[in-house]
Amino acid sequence: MTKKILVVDDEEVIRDMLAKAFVTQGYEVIAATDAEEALAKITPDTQVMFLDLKLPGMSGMDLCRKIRKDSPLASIYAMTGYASLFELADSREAGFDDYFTKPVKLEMLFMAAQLAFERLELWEKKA
Amino acid sequence: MTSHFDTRSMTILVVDDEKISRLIIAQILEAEGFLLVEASSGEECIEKAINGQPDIILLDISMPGMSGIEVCRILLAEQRTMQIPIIFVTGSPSDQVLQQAFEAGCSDYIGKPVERIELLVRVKSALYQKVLLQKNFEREKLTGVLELAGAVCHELNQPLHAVMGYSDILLRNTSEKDPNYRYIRTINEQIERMGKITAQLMNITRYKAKEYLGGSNIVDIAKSSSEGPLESQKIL
Repeated sequence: MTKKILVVDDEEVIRDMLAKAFVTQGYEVIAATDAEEALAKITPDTQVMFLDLKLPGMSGMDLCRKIRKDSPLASIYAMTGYASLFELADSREAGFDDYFTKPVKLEMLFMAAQLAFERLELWEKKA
Repeated sequence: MTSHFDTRSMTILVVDDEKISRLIIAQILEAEGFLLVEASSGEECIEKAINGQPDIILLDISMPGMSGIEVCRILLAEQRTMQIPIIFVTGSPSDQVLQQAFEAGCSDYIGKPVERIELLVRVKSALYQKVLLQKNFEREKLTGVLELAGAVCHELNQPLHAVMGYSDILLRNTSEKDPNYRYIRTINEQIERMGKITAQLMNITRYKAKEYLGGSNIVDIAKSSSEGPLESQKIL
């Protein structure tokens, strides 16, 4: 089964870059420009996600809260260009597993993705 | 008398054409720990205010030549001295002279003969107000810097993220023997360096400026950031 990653960012250049990067690592990438598109594209096997915090319309924070309700085991990471410490504290409360401040080295994102899938496999084995 | 500041680090410029008047004031203030500078005319006062940058000026109104009120107007119009509080020292002024004095921009006035407690209370009160104004000014500047930092981080980190990502991809796909490898690695390293600067911008918690070309000031990002200077800047 292919390992699927959801990438949500309103900037095309970031979506394309992340898609190319994760594809080189053997992942399948679903990209969305906003929360609405993301929610429409999420399927039960979408369990690893990278969400930009500043999205047009529904924020990345609210999108995370919404996804968390149906996907308690998913690994959801926040990416942000600018965040105050208060916002970052809120990101934990919203249900993010971790956050990355842009610019992020791909190595960090690859590591986060790898850990996320390893964690999922552990859960599946237990279940 | 308690102070909100250290009087020993404060300089007072006393301006009076009569030496005895300057001596009386100097004795009271020096006993309190202030540093004293004296001037016997308006012209000398202006020169010493510009070059010496005293914390406060005690200025006689009626002097031969330039009057205290004229001196006050000049000092408050001059950028290098406009922030220095001026207290007039005068005999029994008429209401009209008092009105002129306050319209010229003085902070306060003290009647002659000078009485010790009154002199100290008025000087310290004017200095305290100056300190408060300065603090308020710094706070407003910090707010401006924080707003700018937020905007800069938000706008710059997106393109930085894209360039860093693509240069990462290129580095992974390029052999170290390829002559382009070195160039791509440099792009990658420089973007990482820029990322560290925007990270410091996000951590600005205080306002520290440093001198830049032509005597202008720029925000010292490293010193203003709660994360402190970058490793590379520590070495420099």
